[in-house]
Amino acid sequence: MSLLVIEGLTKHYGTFKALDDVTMTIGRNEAYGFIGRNGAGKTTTIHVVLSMIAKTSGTLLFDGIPITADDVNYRRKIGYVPDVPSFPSYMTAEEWLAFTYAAHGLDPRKQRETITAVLAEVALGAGKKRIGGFSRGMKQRLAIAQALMHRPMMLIMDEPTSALDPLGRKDVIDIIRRLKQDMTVFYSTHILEDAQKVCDRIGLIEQGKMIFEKDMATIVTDQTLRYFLSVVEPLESLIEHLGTFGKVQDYTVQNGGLSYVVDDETDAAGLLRLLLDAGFHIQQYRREEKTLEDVFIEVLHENHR
Amino acid sequence: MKTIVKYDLLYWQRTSKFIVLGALGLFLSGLSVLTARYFNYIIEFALRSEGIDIEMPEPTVLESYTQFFSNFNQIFLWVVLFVAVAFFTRDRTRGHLPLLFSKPLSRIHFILSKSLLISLTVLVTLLASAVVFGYYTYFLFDTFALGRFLLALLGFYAFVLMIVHTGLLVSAASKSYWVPALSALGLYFVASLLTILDFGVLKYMPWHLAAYPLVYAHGQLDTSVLLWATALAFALSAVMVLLSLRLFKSRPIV
Repeated sequence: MSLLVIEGLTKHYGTFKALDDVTMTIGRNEAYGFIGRNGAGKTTTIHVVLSMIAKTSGTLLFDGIPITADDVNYRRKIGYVPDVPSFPSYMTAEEWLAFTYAAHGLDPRKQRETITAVLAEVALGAGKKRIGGFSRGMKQRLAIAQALMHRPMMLIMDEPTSALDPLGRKDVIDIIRRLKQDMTVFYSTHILEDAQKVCDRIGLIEQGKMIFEKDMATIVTDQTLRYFLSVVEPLESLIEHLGTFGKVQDYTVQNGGLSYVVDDETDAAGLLRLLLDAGFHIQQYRREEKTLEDVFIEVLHENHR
Repeated sequence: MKTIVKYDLLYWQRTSKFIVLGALGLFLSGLSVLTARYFNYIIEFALRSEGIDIEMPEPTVLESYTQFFSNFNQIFLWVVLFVAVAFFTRDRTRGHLPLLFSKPLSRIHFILSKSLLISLTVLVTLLASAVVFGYYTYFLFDTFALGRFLLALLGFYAFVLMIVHTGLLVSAASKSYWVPALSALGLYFVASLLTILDFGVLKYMPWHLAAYPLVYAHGQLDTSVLLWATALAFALSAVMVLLSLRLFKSRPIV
């Protein structure tokens, strides 16, 4: 059953259409990757979903209930992690978490243990340190911690790794991987590698319009057949045989071998047999999986044609 | 409401704003009395050392009231204005609003908390300043009209709130610090200019509070005129809070 349903969402700024008839569905306990280029409309969508800005038209349902402007009750059920979180620098991490805890109206007797548990969950050991002295990675951990204080039904993350170095990114991805066991994660990013690591489903937005929504498994398997082949013999000879075979759609030379595309697995086997019969000595032969990045680039190219 | 008030109080405490305003109020109170009492002597002494022998008149308690309201009107009010606008705008200018309003916090409480805290801080500071001022004035001049002074102070308090809430109203719609600060400052100057319009019902208008507290302390103004202007200033502040609420509720958080 769906947790968040967005139908026909539009947002206009004057004559500029920031969002144009965006429709998407996010299921319970799924990690939904919301991908798109910078300026595609990801953050605007998130701000509307957070009821921080008013929509021009469209319907948003959370757990079957419409989300209205400045919807306080709905915010009890969600957690939000921005791309570059900004905290009051004079507060300590524990003070900010205590404030968050109180803002959600939770049981004061359990405040201390909840703060300790959440800080441990995001591996942030500087609870008593002022936030002004935090690194970006520490602030991002704190942003995740404060979003988890009330165990939300859905965690909304707006490019949480975009401002981090590779180690910081890895840490945040590991945290998301753990979190998606217990809650829905709505994860916006333009770093496709990160989305591929954690997301079950992907929605691609471009120029304010949804291009597609697909399961990650479908994206990885539903693709043209690309193989990599390297042989002991000179590459020129291999390329000549590929031409003779006639069923190879396109090929590129890379890493001392050839990466090529065929229509189906029969053609792939046929080409391999032809090469073996011709006396080639094969060093490497593997099917190449398409990455989310490949799909992204393909779709955008098609969309701009 | 309690949560957001605690959040604002922590800022007030950690950034020492309360101490700064309090210390300024107490300093100006003491300074006002001392200046009133001894300034003429200092002038006499300075001139005598230059060979000019002029006898200055003996200062009266009225000089003390004049110094107090001049200092508070020109120094204290300005400091309050800039501190208050920074307090109103910092969550937006520092980018805290998205995280704040991703929590179930009411925008109404957010505005009310800011208005409440600044109003209370100014009130407490003025009362503490009044105690110091009253004590030293009585000590140095042997007289102090407590009731009259407190009513004059009430008028000044209403004037401060009116100026400060102009800053609140503009900050509810603005993303910058300077627009609300300059708007409030602009109202202060306009109010000072409008004091020349003192005929008919215009004499009851709140802008006269730029001058009335001092005039009243000197015994040159009817109590009813001061109270009308004060009541209208409070009412105007309340209207500005209501308008701020409406404006802030309708504005995008980001």
